[in-house]
Amino acid sequence: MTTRNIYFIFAFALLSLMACQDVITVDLEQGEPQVVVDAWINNLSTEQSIILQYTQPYFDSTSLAAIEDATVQVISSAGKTVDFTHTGQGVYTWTPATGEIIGDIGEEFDLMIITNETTYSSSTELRPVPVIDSIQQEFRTDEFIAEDGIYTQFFSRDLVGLGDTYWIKTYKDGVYLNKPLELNIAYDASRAPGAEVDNVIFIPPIREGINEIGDENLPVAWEVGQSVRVEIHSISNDAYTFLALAQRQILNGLNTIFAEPLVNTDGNIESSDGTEVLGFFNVAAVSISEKVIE
Amino acid sequence: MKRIFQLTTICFLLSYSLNAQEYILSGYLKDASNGETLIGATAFVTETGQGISSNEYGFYSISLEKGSYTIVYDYLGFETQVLTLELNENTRQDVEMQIESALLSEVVVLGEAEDRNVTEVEMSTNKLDIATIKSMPSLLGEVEIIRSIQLLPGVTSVGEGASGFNVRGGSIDQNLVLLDEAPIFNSSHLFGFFSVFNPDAVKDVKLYKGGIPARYGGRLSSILDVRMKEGNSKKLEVNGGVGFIFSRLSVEAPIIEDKSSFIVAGRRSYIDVLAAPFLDEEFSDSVLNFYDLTLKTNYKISESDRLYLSGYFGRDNFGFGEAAGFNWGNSTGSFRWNHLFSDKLFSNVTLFYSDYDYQIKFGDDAINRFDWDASIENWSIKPEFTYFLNPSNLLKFGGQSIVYKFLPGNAVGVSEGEQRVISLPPKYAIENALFVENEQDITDALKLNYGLRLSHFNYTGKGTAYEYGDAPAGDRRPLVSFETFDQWEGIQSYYNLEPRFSAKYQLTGESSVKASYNRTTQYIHLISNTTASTPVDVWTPSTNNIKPQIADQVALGYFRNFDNNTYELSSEAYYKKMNQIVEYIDGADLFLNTFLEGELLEGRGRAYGLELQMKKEKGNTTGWMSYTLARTERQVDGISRGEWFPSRFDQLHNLSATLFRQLTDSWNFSANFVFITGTPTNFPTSRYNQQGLVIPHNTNEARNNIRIPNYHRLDLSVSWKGKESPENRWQGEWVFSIYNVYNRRNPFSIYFQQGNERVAPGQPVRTDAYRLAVIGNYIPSISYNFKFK
Repeated sequence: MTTRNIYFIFAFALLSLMACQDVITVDLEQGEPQVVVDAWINNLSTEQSIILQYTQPYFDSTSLAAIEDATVQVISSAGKTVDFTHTGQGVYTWTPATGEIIGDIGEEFDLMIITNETTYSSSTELRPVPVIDSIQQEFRTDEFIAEDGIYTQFFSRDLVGLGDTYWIKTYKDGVYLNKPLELNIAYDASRAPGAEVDNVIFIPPIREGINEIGDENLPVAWEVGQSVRVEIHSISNDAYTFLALAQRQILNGLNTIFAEPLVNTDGNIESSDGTEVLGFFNVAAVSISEKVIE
Repeated sequence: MKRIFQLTTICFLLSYSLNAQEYILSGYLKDASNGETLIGATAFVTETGQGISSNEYGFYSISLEKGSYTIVYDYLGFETQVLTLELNENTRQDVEMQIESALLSEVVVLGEAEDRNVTEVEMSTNKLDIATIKSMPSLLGEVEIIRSIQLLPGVTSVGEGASGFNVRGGSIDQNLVLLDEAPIFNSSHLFGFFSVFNPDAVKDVKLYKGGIPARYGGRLSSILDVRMKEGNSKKLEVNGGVGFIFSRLSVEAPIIEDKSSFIVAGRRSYIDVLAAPFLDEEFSDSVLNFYDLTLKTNYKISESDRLYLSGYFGRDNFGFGEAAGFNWGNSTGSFRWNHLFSDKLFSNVTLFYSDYDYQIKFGDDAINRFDWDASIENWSIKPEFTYFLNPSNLLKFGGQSIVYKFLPGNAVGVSEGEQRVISLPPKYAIENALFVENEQDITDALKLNYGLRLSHFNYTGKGTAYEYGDAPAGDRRPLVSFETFDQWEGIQSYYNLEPRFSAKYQLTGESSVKASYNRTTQYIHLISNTTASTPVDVWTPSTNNIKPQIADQVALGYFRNFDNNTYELSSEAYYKKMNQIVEYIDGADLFLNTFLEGELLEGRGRAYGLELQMKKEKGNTTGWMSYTLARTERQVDGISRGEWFPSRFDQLHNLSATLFRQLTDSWNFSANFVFITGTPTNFPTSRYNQQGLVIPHNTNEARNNIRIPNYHRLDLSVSWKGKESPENRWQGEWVFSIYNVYNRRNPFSIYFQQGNERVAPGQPVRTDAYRLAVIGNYIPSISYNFKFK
């Protein structure tokens, strides 16, 4: 069971009461900068990128310090080595030749990042992904806390066996929906490992998690002519845990009285000198479906 | 431990040697106006200087040598009654006491003997009578028991709107909340804004924060003992009220005069009714209400036997059309039989049933839906005996057995017509206890209450016991093996011996020092990792993986009354150590998780503080001021790098003042002021990006490392009450109150969050700090209450 749905109910109930919220200024202690690896790549034949940066002070959205002189390689268990080259601001990219992919399902991959001082490494496995059967649209008039209009859902069936984990990404007119509430992840067909909902069609909150979330934290209806693109990325179980925990930290109980303690989100990158490195390395298989709203 | 045994044995032997040829004076103490028994009223024997308080059922018993005596019956707010009698046989003397005419206005603080604060051995307890609670200014004019006790020293809350209360640094599940002896597992309506107790049905509220007598057990930090009215045994009485939140109505009347009476009290909120015309169409079929029904009846079979039957049923409902629904509530029932074996041996046997459950549903059609429910149910028998051994010894002994059934989650999901059952199986447990305690006057000045409680908990089948391997501190522990058990087959059992001890030494007629020690054990735990507990939090038993929580508390106090008991000063220092408390790994999944126990951590806690309270009990102006200086901390391997950290409800300073003033015969004024140090919460020291998400990070991994601003608030209330007279059977009361008078936006917490706007990939994401104030304005209210007799 996802706690997110429960938070929605609580949030709604509380907002309907007397609560109020405003932005304030707080002096925060600043942490020492730490290395961050953002290495979520996939086996599509498109440009892949890995980003090496440092943490920023919490309220600082501008000064991003980057690692610009590293050697970045991904090595597959099939023996393929791919070099990522620095293109600026800590972004390292690899552009495959036409039709070239980084590897196939079942292969294992090692990430090696070598700087003058330290080596950072990680490994993961490329896991399978189910096909998307369809994206469907529906005009809804009696939608719960949302405007009347066209809403979409995708249909796909979780793969056989427990422990398949996915990240469903949506693009609306080519724009990636990247708000924290739009983060749509699945453990088998459901949201949590304990539930053991295997090999069924993804449950409705996941299917419908491809609708844009507006400024009021409510789903936004689609317009005729807009395009929707849904991608299912296979991710490792640890990557699922990482994203699920990150989302809980970012949403923070939707700022109600039901927030959990803020905790750190452990990644899967290790350093040769034992210092803590943040971030994640995952290689995904991707299935894609697209539709134009009619 | 051995010493305590020896001490107990010696004391018992001593008490027997004191026995001599005596007669017994005993009886019930009652309120003459409605026949309600009086709890904690005193009978004082002038000739011998001995006094005794009436017990929870209004019964007292005292043995005296043959002779003539002057007995003074005393209860604050009532006229003192003096009886002279010749005692040459065992004598039954029931006394009906008259309310002091000057105090008809109900502005009464504490209904007890005037010097009880100083003379009783009991410490770390607070008694609030319902008239006091009703006189306090309140949120939206709703008389509120749980919010009222938060004005007492040593009682705090994590914030406005949070469910439950914290006593001396304990978490909310460490309070045993009893309604006529049946436990209430969630004492709140509407999260934490209102409590489940209907003030019209409550007679007496007593909170034990320390020096907990051996007859109580099962929770670490406190006992909140709420006793319901029996119902007017003289004549029909109807009480009711109309407020912003609730409408209330209660009816009480004799069934057979002086033999049997009843009370039925109901409340219902009507936010939804009032709001319905203003809601948009899509909300038109939404539901938001809560209600409760409290009933009690009693029957006096004979002079020696009385029966009581009490029940409570309450529910909170949230519904959003067909799409989603959520409801929760408690139901309890208790049956009690008071029996007098002799004038010296009083007994009570309680049978109770208590249940807390909730249901959640999503989905408006049969092919896509999700239904979830969970509950905790328990059944118990609790025989207790009070033996009025001699004037120097009051012996209590008894036991309790509780059978628990935990339903941690019954859930069924249907996706496109395919159903998956994701329920967790029920868990069963049996808790038993035996206790003995004695209250003994050693000398005129020294009084002791000592006792022992032996508790036993058996986690049983039917079920599966999981064994987990080791993992680095703070990580999920891997499943190693599991074993299945048949119904009632023991999986894991625990025994604990809980010594309890309090002492009072009278320094002068108006002052005393007291000391107490108690060990308490808690076998059931509320699994909750949010700032405020949610109604969906699930109770779990101690198992082979979860050990019982154990606490030791010592307290030392100085008590002094001034000016003929007009002023009462209580000062206490305490230190409490808590072991085997339940904590959670980062990212623990607390719901519908078969392997939850592998995600729990074991920690310890400590709480210490100084509580001061000055009370004025008599006159036109009454009230109290309390100040608490306290700390509460936790240490858990795997959290905050294993270092001690302040708990989320740690409040260094907590000052509260409550004032009542009778302006005229009809007009009353009251005020509350509170000042509380801001509670600690978590802040990130830095942030980083992953695929466009901005993840907060704390370099030091420190828990509760920033304090939110201090909390302070003033509430005022003025009430007008019509005169009570035999001709005027209808008595109305208007209450005007303002909560949060100077409109302070007291923060519940500070949150750190990324901005809500859409940011193009690669562009910087804004992060801000938000202050959440649960009540951001002053809240005026008017309510009308009435009484018809």
